[in-house]
Amino acid sequence: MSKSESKSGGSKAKQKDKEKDLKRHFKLSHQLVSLTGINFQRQSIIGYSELTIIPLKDNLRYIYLNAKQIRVYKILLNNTYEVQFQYFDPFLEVYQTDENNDKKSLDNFSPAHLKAAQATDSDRGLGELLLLFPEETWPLFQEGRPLKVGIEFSLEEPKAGLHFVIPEGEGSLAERGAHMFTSGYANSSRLWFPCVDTFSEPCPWRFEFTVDESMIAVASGELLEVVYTPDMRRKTFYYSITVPTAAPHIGLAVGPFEVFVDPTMHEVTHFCLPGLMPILKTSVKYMHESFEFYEETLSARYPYSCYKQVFVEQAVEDVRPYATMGLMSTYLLHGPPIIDQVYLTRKAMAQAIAEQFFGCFITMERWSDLWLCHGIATYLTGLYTKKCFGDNEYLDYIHLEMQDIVKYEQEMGGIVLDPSQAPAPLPTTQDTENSLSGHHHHHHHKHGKSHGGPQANSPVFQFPIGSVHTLSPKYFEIMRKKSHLIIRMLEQRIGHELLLQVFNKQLVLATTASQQKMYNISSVNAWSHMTISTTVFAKAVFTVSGKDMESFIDSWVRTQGHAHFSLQFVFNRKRNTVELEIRQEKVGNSGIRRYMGPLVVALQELDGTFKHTLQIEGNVARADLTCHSKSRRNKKKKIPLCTGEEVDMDLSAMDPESPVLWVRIDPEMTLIRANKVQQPDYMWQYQLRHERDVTAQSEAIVALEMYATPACRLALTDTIENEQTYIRVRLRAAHCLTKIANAMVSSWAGPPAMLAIFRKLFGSFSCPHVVRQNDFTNLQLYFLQKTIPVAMAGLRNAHGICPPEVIRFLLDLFRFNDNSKNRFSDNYYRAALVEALGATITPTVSMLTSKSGGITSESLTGETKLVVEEITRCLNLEKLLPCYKMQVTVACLGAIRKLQKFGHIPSSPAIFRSYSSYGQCQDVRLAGLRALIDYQRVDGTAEDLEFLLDIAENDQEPRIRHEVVRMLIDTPPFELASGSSVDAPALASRLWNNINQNLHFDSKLRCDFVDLYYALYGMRRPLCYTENFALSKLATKREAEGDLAPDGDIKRARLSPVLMEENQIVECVTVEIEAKDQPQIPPPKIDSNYFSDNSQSLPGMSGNSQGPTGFLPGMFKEEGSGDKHGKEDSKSSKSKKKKKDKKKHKHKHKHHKHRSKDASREGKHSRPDSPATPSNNKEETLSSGSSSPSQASQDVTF
Amino acid sequence: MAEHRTVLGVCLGALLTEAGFDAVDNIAYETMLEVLTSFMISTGNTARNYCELAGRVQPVVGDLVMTYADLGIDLRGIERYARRQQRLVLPALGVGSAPRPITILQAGSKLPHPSHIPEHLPAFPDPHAYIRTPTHKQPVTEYEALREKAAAQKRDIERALTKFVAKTGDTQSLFTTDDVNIFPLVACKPHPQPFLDALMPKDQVFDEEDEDLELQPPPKRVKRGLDLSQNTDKDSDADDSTPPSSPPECPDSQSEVGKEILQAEKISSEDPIDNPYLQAVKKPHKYI
Repeated sequence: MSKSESKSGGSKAKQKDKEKDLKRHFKLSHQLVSLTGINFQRQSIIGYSELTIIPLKDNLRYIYLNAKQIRVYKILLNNTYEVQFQYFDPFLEVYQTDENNDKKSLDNFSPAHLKAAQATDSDRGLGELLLLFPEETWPLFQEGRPLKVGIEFSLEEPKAGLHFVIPEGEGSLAERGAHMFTSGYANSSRLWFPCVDTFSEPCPWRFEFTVDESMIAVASGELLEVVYTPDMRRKTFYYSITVPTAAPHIGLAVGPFEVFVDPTMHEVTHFCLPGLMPILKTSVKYMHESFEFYEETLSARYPYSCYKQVFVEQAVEDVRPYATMGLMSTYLLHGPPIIDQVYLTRKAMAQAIAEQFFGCFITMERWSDLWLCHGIATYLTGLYTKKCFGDNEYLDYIHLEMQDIVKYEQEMGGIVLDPSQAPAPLPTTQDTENSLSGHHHHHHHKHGKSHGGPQANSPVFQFPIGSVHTLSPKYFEIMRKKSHLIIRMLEQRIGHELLLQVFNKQLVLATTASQQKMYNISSVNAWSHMTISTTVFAKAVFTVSGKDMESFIDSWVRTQGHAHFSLQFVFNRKRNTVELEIRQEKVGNSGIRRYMGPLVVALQELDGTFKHTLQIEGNVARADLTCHSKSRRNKKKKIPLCTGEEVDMDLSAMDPESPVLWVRIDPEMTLIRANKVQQPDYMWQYQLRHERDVTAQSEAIVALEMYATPACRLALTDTIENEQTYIRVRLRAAHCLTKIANAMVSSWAGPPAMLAIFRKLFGSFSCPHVVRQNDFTNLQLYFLQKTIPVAMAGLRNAHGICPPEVIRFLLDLFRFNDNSKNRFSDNYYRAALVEALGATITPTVSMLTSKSGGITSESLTGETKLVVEEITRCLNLEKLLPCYKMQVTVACLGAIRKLQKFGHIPSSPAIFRSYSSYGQCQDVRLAGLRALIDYQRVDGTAEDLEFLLDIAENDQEPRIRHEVVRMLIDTPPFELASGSSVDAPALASRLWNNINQNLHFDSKLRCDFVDLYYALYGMRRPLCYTENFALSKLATKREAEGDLAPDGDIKRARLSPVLMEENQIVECVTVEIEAKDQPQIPPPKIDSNYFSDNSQSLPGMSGNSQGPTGFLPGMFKEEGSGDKHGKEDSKSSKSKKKKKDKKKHKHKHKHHKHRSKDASREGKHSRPDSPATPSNNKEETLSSGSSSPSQASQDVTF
Repeated sequence: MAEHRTVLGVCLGALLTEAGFDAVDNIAYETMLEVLTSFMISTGNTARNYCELAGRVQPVVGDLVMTYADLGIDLRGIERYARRQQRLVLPALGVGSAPRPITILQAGSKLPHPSHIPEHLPAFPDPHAYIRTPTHKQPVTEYEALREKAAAQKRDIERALTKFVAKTGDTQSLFTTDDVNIFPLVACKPHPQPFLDALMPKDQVFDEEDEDLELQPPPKRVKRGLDLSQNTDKDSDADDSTPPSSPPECPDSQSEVGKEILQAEKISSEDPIDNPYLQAVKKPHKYI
């Protein structure tokens, strides 16, 4: 941080000479936290904390601690000297705008945001609380001599970090089930006690919590004793944790919990709210198995002496692991008749336990090592789910995770797991660099330099990735998934056993370390093995396996993005070879990087599966693979599969010349990649029918969506009926069959798709049209029974409406639903039926007439009326006989919203508002809010949006606040610069104030709001601040009609790629430090540029309008330095520029060709729910433009 | 009695009309009706007395003559009165409605007379009276109809219940314009502890014995495992040695687990579990 920066940051007080040594100058050897007054009425706590620190230098004159939203009364050193302190929290105003609306852009905000986070980062030796030791104490500071810092503090009505749940009603607090618990996000212990709030500073702890006589305090550590206070009305819980633990892993829950000691493992105690004991017992029945599994797998003991699970209401996340305890959502509990929840609950509990090993016990050294803890813990959880739910479930899970990563990275940008260090400049990365700059799309980011390492390849996001307090929660979530897959990839490279040995080694080292004591300077590093970092881990891998994984880590952990392969092939009959071509066309697109290295291609031939390992070296790789088998005609012979099984196949569909049945890339998922294999439909059908790998089956189903043929229909039907097939594949096949049937509507013969299957499986013996009494003991059939009606509801006849036959079928399912003989609850099944009814709804034909006259119940057509009646009935019944988690209500709300949206009933938010209000069950609230947000997008006014934002800002449940914002991001109330009436300066200011000031206490929510700001306004100043915004709205409209934009704008659009190119090179070539330290002057151009935002929205221009779409957050930031260095670098940039120009030409050429396809492409590739309106088009180019620099090339390569 | 009154009322009306009245006050009409009724009753009674005195069962004209004489009614001129010209002819009484079939429980069909019994003798009574009494109807055994009926019944109950609640409590409506009663939605009320209802559902009562079932899996479940292939191990263990399709809350190793739990419980009953949360709270002796 430079001096100039500090001015804008406003942290003058603590600047001084801090820059030179950004680290803590003391070690923490012990901490005591004592909360003496936990007051539920006033939602306050009074406490005392004592930190034992060991100075690392003699002249320690001040230290920083972390403390937020707490009031510090007094600080004493060694119980004698009073210490002066200062408090400063940069998040109180992240970026000082002086109410200048022009500056309220994320471009400005992002760097300031990171700076604020770093200004309180304990790993940089900083914090909110500055303790200035008085002169008389200076002699006490001798290197290595422990000192005690005692802090008296209080906390009132905390807004985050600690959450109080106090239900209204009669009776004492305990009778009402009032409780409180820690709810901070990431390292947020500072929100409830002063501490060194980082993962890298573990120490032993002691706790004392004095609570009401009727309450129990559950906290991290071992409960030593419980003692009454002298007045006998309260009691004090004494906890101690001897294993060094980092402050963020300290958790606490206080409430009138019911206690259940695990009958199998007495060290494990479960806690739930009063009244839930029966279902608690059911839910935790098999939890001990995961303990046993982990201990066995890691051949290491569970590191702590006890474990507690506390189920609380209004939990922020389903699972929040703390040292020795897991804080879980009460909504994870389930009784014996519930099916679907079991999978989630077991996994959640297993996750919490895995994180005890990696996460709590072994923690990360820095934020950039987070991936290791997350990755290993999730990997272990994955192994447990594999054991618990089977191989197919596991493979499918991995496959889905991969898809999530690919989707996110392509939308938002590539994730770098460890941004602290750039990948070594191997030829690989060098090449990547070149190719990236060659494509000129890749923009280098300067935010993420949290640890001073060069930041060569971090992608552009609307948020800085340098600190967890600035990260998008979504990014955080996907990063966990990616970490998991990377660990799994490592397993594939070094082997399962060896990887477990690496884990074991870490655990053994950490266990040894944890038994050490820290007394003085000689032992300050005693606990260094408690933390893990990328480097340490890589070394451990090398020690154990003898394999140097440095390049693997460089290319997957320190480099962003995933690989993207398109495979094409032809069979050469003469030479009996398959001529393959694998392209990496999209390299440089958002989230996609070039992959170099081995790639496995599996050919399924008539004589078996043959794997070929190809070496990928460039963007295009070609190979001729010799087939091992000859084509044969009419010869009956069993065909061996990859599993070794031999099966009969009907080979009549295949090319008689070729022995190739299907081709797969990277079948073992050894890379994080997206695949696009081009093979004829019959090959996909063979793959679906006969390939044993569930991921291959799933991929085949996705591919078959494009082929609406009777053969495909048959393949899918057979798959649905095939009991040998993994159930989720069968479910996917059902949904795919819906699409196929709809595409084949003109030639479809016979009853609606899947009707016959359903009747065969679930119809009564004597009368197939009456569904059997429910019996869910066969879970596969259960899932089919739930899914087929939903899939069938998606069917449409030639008029585009759901066939009446299907609606009648669904209504009959309702009518004949009989669960009286079932051992399991049918709540999810009934919810699925309601969902199916909702899915039958299509837009009314009489939209116009009904709009003019108001929609009444008379305007309902026959079938719709029945649907409405059924939904009403279900919803009403649920009030009297609520089902588990009110799933039926949730489905009903969705269906009602759909009826509203399609004009069958009047669109109104009133109902949803009542369901989304406080006091409803969490799932119901979310369903209500989802409907409201959908309403907002279609008919919402500014007041409606205010209602939602009120919830997002002030709701009592933190999770609801978070989810509302996430849903608003997914379904924004208006598109970027679409000229919506809701898009007003007041709204922008409100959001800005939230991210800039109001949400200083809640990093997660603040980052959510940053994402929302980005979704609504992009990186730059919100357009609504423009004085002639109305005018530009008009312009938008005109453009939509096809008028030409003013010439100047087009010119600017053309120019900007060059501009950007220069910038990029500047950035690559100039010394990094300089770039970093430059004051972030907002580009003067930005203000005048707002108009081009609109002009580029021309629908036809999207192809070559790479200029504006390429505007990136950091693009103009270096304008100042760019000018300075422009000359020096002009030479180097010129050559590139030329290349660039050539490329652009090419783009244009191709664009013509593919323009004609535009319509169809849009239909397929744009988000399915968004109509291809010009405004929408713009949104896509703009928003993805700023995160994915190469929208244009994406278009071209298509 | 009501029919007699009606008939008499009609006669009275006819007489009054003949006498030249157009209308009659209700009270007068009622009075006259009472007089007429009482006259007819005493006529009948006396006539029966005379006929019974004579050893007959049905009165004859002579009995009536005696009756009227007895009552002091002069019968002269009655012949002329009966043949008068302008007398009103009353419409025939609604015969169809009067003879309601006697509702006797008809069970089974009556047997015809055997040949040796003449036809004029009374018919046999219902067979149930002397052969056997069928106590129930043959139930409908057709599956479809039963399901229909069960579904209809359930639906009726639910409908009545929800209607009742909707009528007695707050409602919401899907429609803004017309009657609130078309599709009334029971309004949702906030609950101080919404999770209680959501997690402890009341929509269905499950047998408690389920718990026991889980501890000792019925052999049925093992059998069910046979028809599942290993490729469908969504909910089962990867381990093939166990039946692959146990419901999720009772995984394959349940029998062992069950035993373990039983053991654990045994242990727990023998010696107390050493868990700090089960310890008694200490008295504050050290702090006094």
